[in-house]
Amino acid sequence: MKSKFGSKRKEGLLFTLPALIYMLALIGYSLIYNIILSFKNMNVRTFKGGNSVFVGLDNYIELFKDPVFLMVLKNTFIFTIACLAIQFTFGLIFALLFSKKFPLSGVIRGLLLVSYMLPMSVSGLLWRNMYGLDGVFNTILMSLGIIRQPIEWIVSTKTALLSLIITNSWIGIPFNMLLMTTGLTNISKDVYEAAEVDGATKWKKFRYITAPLLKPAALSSVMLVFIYTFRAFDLMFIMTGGGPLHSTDVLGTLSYSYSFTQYKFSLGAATAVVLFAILFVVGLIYLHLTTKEEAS
Amino acid sequence: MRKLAMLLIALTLTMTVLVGCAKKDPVTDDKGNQSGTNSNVDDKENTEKVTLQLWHYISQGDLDDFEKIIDDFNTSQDRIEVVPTYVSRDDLTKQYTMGAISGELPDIGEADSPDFASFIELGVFEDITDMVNEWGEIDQFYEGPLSTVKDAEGRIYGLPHNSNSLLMFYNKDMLEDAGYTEAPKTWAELEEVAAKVTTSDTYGFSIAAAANETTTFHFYPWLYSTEETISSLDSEGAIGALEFLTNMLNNGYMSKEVINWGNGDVKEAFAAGKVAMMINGTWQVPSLREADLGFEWGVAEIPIDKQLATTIGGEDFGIGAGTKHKEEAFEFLAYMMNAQNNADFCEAGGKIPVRKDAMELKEVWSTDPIISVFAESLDYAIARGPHAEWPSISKAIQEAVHASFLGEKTPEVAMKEAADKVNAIINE
Repeated sequence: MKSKFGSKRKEGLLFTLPALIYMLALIGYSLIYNIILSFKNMNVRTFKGGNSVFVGLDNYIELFKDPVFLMVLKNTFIFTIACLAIQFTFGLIFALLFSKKFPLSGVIRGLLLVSYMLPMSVSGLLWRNMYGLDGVFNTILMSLGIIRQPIEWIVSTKTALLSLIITNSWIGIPFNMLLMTTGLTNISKDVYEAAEVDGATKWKKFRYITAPLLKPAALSSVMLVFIYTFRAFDLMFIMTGGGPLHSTDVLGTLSYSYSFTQYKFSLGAATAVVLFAILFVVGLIYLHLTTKEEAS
Repeated sequence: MRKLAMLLIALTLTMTVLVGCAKKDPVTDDKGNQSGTNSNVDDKENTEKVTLQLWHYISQGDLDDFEKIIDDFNTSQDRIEVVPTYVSRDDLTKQYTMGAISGELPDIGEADSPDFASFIELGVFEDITDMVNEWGEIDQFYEGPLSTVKDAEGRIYGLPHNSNSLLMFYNKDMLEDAGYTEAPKTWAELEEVAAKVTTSDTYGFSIAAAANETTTFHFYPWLYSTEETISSLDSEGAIGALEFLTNMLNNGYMSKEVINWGNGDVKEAFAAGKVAMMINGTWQVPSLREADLGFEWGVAEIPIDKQLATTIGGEDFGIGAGTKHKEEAFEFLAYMMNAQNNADFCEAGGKIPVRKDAMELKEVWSTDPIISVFAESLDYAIARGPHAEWPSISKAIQEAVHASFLGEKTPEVAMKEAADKVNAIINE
């Protein structure tokens, strides 16, 4: 019995080996390089001739003392959590809605996917124009008499992050809807039929059947979206460049700006490592939750 | 074991985050376009001919004129073949920094002149001082543009390619309707005219202040007109310059959106009649002339506080560090930058030559009513840097201008903070 278990484990390891080698060779290398870089002082001055030296935690200390970095960290969390909440809620609502058959439901569901299929650069430029002071949103809102002064969407530090949250949610809702739809179709119809026989109401069916059976799918959806949103870069890069005044800067754009605009390579690497560390912790939590799920 | 497995899976889930920061192979990174790096593949097939990779960001409008020079060079001899590849400016900067680590650099590459000093420091370009001296034509190059390709010791790492400067474009029809036959000459006059021509759907005035080098490029003329400099940003004059521009914005003469506007966006607004007076560069002249705007426009010096001032911009070309064909690459550079080619390219693309003898070849720079004003402005134009840490200096200025424009800080506080940052770098 014991030996059988042992050979099975070996077998399992063998199966993961190709993926592991692939990861280590292609991703592990740059990951480790990046972490090492974050403990050096490599910048435009020390780059040539390898004059950079190890400076311990100096870069991390500098980052966490810098109000800009702290603000960017806050932005990243606000952006991610807000987008996640909106996308998940609407994704679930749409998935439930389109699980019912009604005229044109297939067509409308297909059309909803358009926002997800557009390249980020196209969506970004589109929304940049729509957010203009005399753009379509302000024009509509003003002609309806809802506002008197145009809203300074991505021009003001107060509304810029909110504007990007709206845009990113618009892009991400269909993806969430797809994930939720897959989860819903995996729930057997028999369960609902049995519940109906027992006289369950609609709410009770959602509360005691849909919700618990959807939990694994919902959990992975939340995880995927969290990771995907937390490392956001292109939307900010296209729409605001992280501005005005860092109000839409996130860890991804800040790291890029340090490395490729200011040539402060080690600071950029340290920023990326912080980004990675946070996602790593999130990944661990996810695994903890799913293994608990499987066990029960 | 279980914990280890969990760690590994968690790593897998999150690892990909950092891949974006890792180096990429430019060949696959380049939208499927053929591209390459110091490639010597052709050498094996044909021992005679050397292939040189050239990376540039010359835009569509000027591309034909640029490629014609390369074609002429390729057909003029049978030893060297130059292959140009377009890489967007942002990507190019990224490729140079990564190439400096990996050694994957083009044989010849273009860079924005204020960035060149950083690239020299990063070791992106070869020292070509000896070849330049042997060539014997460097005396023909203007000192301003030439300074951008030199390091602190005066070694030369490239050749300037073209120059431009900022001036004020104004809508003659709008100004005449408001009773002005001439463009404003001083800050006070500018404010007065801007107030008169601003309407509910037209801004009187605009600079470009997108959150990158653009803002610094546009702030320089106002700063230097007060007779202050980059090392006196906390002076009364420097603060006054930012105060003046901030007032133009707060009074509604300039759009709040300028903080997102690049030079191209401002030109579009001007062409659409939404801006009556704009600060913009030499290179906008050909497209404005070709367009059917429906109004008359002219170009004038930027209104002054104490003295005439503008910023010089332009592009440089260098030879990629580690190339196996330094001699051949320089042979092409020297050909591309001979007086005739420099004059031809600059005339077609609305740019100012970097060579004195190129300037003398054509009359356009002295007789054309618009281009000549730009050419003359180079006499007093100020260059940014050169400084290896220019991007950090520039960022401090950008943030000060934006903080003041957005009302987050007073011009005084913003400029004093910028001064602290800039002085710390300059006095290092």
